[in-house]
Amino acid sequence: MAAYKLVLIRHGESAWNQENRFCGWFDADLSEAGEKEAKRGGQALKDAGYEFDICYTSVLKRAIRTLWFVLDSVDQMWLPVHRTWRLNERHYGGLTGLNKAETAEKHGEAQVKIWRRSFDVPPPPMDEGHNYYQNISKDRRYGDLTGDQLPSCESLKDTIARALPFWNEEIVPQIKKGKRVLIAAHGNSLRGIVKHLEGMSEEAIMELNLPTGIPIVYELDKNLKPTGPMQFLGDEETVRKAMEAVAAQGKAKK
Amino acid sequence: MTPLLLVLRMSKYRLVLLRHGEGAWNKENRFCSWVDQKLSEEGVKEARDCGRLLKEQGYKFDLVFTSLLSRSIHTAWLVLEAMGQEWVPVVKSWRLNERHYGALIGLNRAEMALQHGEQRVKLWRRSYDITPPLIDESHPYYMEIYNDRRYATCDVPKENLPRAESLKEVLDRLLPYWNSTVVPEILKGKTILISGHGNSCRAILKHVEGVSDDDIANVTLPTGVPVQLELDENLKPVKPRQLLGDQAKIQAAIKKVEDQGKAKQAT
Repeated sequence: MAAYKLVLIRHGESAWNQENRFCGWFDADLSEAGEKEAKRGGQALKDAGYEFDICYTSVLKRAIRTLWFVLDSVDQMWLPVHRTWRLNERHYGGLTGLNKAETAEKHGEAQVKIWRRSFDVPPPPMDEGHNYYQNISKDRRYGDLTGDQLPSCESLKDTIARALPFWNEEIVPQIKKGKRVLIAAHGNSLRGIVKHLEGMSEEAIMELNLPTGIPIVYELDKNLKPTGPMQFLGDEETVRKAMEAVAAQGKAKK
Repeated sequence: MTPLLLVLRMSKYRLVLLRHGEGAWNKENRFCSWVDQKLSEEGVKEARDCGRLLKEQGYKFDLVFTSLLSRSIHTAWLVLEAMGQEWVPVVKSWRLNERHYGALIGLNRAEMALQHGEQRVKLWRRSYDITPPLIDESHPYYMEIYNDRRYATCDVPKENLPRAESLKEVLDRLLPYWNSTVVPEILKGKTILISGHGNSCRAILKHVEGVSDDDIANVTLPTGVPVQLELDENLKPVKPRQLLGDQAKIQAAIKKVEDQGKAKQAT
């Protein structure tokens, strides 16, 4: 019998996803499709009768608004919500704003492959000349971050390194107090939590693409080890498709 | 105080109060109070318009406070969305809840006014210290309110939560929160939005502006209109409260709220 249950949800399609642009810390909003994904995820939690005690999210609207849609669906808008930059999406540095074609053109296919396959090689930094520098690095919401904390770019390793302290210091104590936690965040920050929970290797976590808009449930023992694989909530077809997509990822040609 | 002295007092802090927009029961003229009604479509629109206005006027919030009632929380979310400030922390407390109307919850204001007279209804709505009759287990909304899990998370045990309140009693439970939690943030220089309810906002105004027990009856806050307070270093207002936005619309909104208290005449 699991001691605790944890629910994660990765936000759905953003306006920049539609354009295939590296988004990272750019505060893109959900597209209409992304909003539908969030509502569907919320409905799945409502249908399964989930109750939460505390919620965590990033400071990016696509995750926050996903959480809001979910809380509205489960009629728990009154829950405390903690927002943190540490759950933000990975910072794509100089690649922020570029689409796939532009990136390959600018940096060459070979370099792009290295970045995509690497756990710890960061993309080029976002410097002061970057067209999104003011918009991101100088945004008021990051005003309290120290020079060391505010990234100019991140590898997946970097993302996980700044997400895990929050998990360990803020989230874990709440879970251990018996609080039922909901985390609405991004592909790479959630990868950090999943890698940690399941003790996955760097290669394995890079193969894993979490489904979007689908509540991901972990049952944990008293040491916060998962008692089984992650489960997806939703109608049969949605869940089956998500499970198949995840299973196929490991076999995909790179 | 002479106008010259007023000019010399500097505004150090800025605070915005907002009464949420229309809920389904506002339209029906029923006392909603602690029943967790959602915003109506009109109420959603009011919140978005308010957000747009605050964005145009260049507001940059650092912190938002709401009650535990969905309509005030939803209003805050819609305002933050319109402003692109979804990342701003939102803190929720029952102490900012709407006034608890006791046994009058769910009753239609017009019917009550016809039964008890406009004056008595006005007294319950607008007097400072007259408590309406208490809600009890026989009331149709009792279970819905007190079985709600959110009221097991408050800083007082559920059995000590109100069963009816006068405006005075609203301020009695709001003021400790104001002092312990809101004031320190104001003093840190944070720009704060309080997304609240008609009576919790009036209670704050009474306290901050020093409105008398008699005069507070005449203070009507329209829905969906941001109220700006500019305060000195002692948190005293340096000028009269400002209702932001189109002044003609604001007057119409005030009238709408005042008319709700009046009985419909039988035809």
